[in-house]
Amino acid sequence: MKKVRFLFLALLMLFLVACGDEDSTDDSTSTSEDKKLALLMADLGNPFFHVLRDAVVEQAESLGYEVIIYDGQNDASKQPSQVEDALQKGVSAIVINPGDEDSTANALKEAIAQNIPVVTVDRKVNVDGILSYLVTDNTKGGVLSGEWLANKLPDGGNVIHIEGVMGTAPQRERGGGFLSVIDPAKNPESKFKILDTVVGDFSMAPAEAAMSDLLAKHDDIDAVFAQNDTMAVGVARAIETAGRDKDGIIIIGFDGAQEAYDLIKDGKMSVTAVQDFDFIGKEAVNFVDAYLKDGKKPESEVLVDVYMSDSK
Amino acid sequence: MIGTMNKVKGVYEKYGTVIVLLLLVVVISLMNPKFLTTYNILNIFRQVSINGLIALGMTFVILTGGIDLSVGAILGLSGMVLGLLILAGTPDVLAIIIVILFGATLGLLNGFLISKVKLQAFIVTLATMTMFQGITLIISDGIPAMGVTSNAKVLDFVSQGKTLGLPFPMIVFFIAFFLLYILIEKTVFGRSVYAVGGNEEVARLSSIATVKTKALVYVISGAMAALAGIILTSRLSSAQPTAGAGYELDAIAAVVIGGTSLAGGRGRIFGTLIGVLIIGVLNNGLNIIGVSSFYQQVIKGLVILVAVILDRKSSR
Amino acid sequence: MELLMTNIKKSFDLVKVLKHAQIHVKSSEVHALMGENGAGKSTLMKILTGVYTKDEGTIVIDNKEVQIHSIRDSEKAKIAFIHQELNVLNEMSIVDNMFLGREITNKFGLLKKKEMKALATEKLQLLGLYVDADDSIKSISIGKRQLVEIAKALLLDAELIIMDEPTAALTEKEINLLFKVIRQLKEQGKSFIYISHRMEEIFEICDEITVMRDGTFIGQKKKAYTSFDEIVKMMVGYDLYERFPRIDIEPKDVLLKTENLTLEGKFEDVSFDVRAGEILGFSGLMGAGRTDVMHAIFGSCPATSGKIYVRGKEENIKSPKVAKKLGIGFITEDRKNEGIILDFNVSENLILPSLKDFTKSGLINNKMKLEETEHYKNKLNIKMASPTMKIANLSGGNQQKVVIAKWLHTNPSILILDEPTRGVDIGAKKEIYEIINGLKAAGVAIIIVSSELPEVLGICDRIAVMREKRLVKIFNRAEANQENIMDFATRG
Repeated sequence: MKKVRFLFLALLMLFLVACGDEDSTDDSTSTSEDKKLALLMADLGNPFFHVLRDAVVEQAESLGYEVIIYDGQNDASKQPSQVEDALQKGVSAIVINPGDEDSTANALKEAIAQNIPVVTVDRKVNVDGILSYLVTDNTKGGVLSGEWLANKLPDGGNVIHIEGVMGTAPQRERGGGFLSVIDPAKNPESKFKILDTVVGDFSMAPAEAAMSDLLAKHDDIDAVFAQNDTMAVGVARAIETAGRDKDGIIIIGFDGAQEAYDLIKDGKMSVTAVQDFDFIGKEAVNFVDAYLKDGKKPESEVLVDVYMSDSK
Repeated sequence: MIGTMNKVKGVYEKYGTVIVLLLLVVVISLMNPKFLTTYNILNIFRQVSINGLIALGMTFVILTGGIDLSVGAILGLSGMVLGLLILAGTPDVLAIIIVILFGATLGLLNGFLISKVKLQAFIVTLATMTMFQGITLIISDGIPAMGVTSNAKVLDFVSQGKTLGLPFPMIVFFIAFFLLYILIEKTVFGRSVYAVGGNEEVARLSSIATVKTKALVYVISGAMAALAGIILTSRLSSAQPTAGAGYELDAIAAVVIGGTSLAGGRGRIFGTLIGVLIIGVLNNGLNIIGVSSFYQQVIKGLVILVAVILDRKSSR
Repeated sequence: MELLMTNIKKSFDLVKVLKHAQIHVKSSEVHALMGENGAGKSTLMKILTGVYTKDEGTIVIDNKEVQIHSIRDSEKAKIAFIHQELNVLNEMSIVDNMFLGREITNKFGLLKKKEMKALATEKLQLLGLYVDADDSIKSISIGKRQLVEIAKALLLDAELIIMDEPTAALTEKEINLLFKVIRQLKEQGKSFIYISHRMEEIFEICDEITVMRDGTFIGQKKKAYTSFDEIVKMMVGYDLYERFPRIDIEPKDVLLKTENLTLEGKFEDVSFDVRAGEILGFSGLMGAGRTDVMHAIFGSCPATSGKIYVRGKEENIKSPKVAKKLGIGFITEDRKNEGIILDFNVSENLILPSLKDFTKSGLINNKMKLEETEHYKNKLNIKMASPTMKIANLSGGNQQKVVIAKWLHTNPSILILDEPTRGVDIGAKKEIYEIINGLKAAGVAIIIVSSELPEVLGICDRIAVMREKRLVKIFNRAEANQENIMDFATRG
């Protein structure tokens, strides 16, 4: 038994060494000691955010920053210590995609006190002194999706609404914007009818399951609004499985993810509301860079436009 | 008089959860007749097959007095391995076999740590759950494997195909149920599973291979989770890096609703079938009658509680 | 079958448990294996049944030396072991229990249920047990489960059946049935090794007696040519003189009195009193309601009607807390579950009911705790290596002394002891009786619930007999004997 224990311990140590950050071993060769930028992502498990990450990295490196990336793994409570870790490493700027609006507030206060510029993207943090907050105009995206649908079906129709994780800002704003155009209760001029609203948690399997159920319930669905593309893909799959792909059900997604474009190309999906993460990422880096260079302050809140697209 | 009382009690004891299931079906179909259409019934069976397969494996584990929290993570990891294998050009039949064996191997790791190294099942499977989730993210780089079934006919058939008019996942589920039913009820191994869960010391003194038995149930659980992962991947035609998170809880709930004791040694695999159907009918039914998602969660919790309370009452 | 085990030695971690053990069992014989706890009886039997492997010595069966390395080996040698805490799985049926680990299967590996049931039923009926083998084992009484275990041994064609304390949980009637079965099987040539603490039983059922002490064979006697006293002397190594020491003192005031105490389904109309300096015994069959009455007095399961007077004042004892305040102590029969916490050490167990007395500004004072333990160790002659050793490692008798010490600290004026000497060595038993007598002399009112008639007759001043939930008779010591107590306890 002692041998087994020792073996496990040895394995663990080996693994730790193997997984360790290679850069950390050659600190001395680092030339850009004064120009480190911390990028804190809420959840790199969601591929769509890779666009944001890549944009930040690309822009920052071209401006001569070394980028340290943290992944919150969809757990907002991990982010405060990541902020502290970044401060410890002496970063000169922080770009953060927070998991929620409050967890990192205290940790960021410390950064602001040290006059380190903080830009939050996609979600704000409730603390004073943030340099800027860049976010997709989710409400506008919802409105645009609604208007696109109203344009497509001038005589109205029956709509299914698939929501994301309940209680999150994107869920409220995208749904709110969409309903303000489509829901007759909010827009008396709407000729549409909301057949059902279900929760897909922004992920594929629950959206697919819920859609399968609704296909059993309704045979007169004209359109589905899914609050992100991952769910839209699940919806398309459910329709295909049910053999209802000839019904011509319109599927609207949100994000502008690769898988959505693929489905649109195959004719299984109609359109997606694109968040310009590439633009957001680059702009966030430009803001901190300008501030560090000549103390220029951008607007404290920047709403980034959304547009409807059916091809990349 | 007492005889009839006992008989009534016996029926109730045996079929208490069946009554809950039937009541649910009646109430939901009264509220919306669309519930009892052929399409929807097959839809329910197709959907429950995933939780069902996991729950069948979980039943073995719980009967030995153990628990397997890693099934959701095994499902996710197996699905991802399958997706990557297929996208790398592996023939789908071969990939399916590899993935089932892979799931069984992950289960064997759990089983080894629990039965041989004698660690507690809860903490072992909690640890491996975290590890497996991490490995899924590592091998996928956090990106889903898309379009998995586009060029894989057999795999596509696994979820989309029909045999005798029945969805193939449903058939897989019932074949698995039948085989595992035989295994638990009609074989020496099945007796050993009950014996180990009932009283491990007694089992050992009856010269039962307790270590082997305890390890094997996790192998079964792992293999079943991998099978469920194959079906889910095929259903979505894509492998999601976070797939399977939380699935272990639905499976445990189904097993417990089905009357299997978390302490081990007592329970029936038939009960698990009913438990799985109760959860499936509830999920589907609440969507069909259009209950808002906030209330759905409350109702689901209530039904689980009621089913467990009924079971407790009847087993006294 | 003839079995001869000679010069058996076995050590665990350098502790020599068996130094020189021996037993010689002939066919058609019931052979008692006696010795105090820790004498090595169980270890010897576990070696015979392959649970342990011997370090040295020989096992000869029917003049042929055999090697037994596993439970399977001993089964092949036609030896079956019926453990004290019956090895049954409560959630399984009778037939499944009987075939556990040796199921019959067809060539596809599937169980042949019908065949197993037929075989099981045949063996059960052979023992006069007419039950449906598919019934769950928990649906039959403990006595019948004992018979199921014997039937299971018969399934194996066992020629030698080892029984460890088989009657510990049986009623008088069940014991008689068991003995009938043992005699019947003996006639057919089967042999038994019978381990028990109950002298009376040994002398009733056994033909030969082997005594062990301290891992060593002491001697073998024919029942016909020996006596209680001789065997006891062999077991403890010295003369014990009286088994039941008695002191006679004049009882004083009535400390506890009950009137028409009733708890539906458990007991009805129970009325009695106990005086200071008096021991009242409670006799009766298992399930007659004796223990339930005690729980009612202690408040752990209060009565629904009737009255309890403590020192002449009517009291409503609705919880053990109230009882404790009134000076009532209760030493329960289920020592392992209710009396001690096995994972705690000795002194932690000792202070449990009176934690507050051992605290200084809210923290438990270690020094006081250890002093108190030392005090009781000397007072009650508790044999232990240190106050911080795990109580699980003490012998049954010493565990029981700790339980008594635990309650002595609360200074009870009324003390209830339920089966105080169950599973306790004969030497330690006498010490416990002496402790009880000491309390009696100090003016404590004592109630003893016991299934062992000699014990009740030996140390009690009066004896209450319960039958089917009712208190049917209270004897004075002078007028009571085994026959008339049994008569009242069983007469329908």
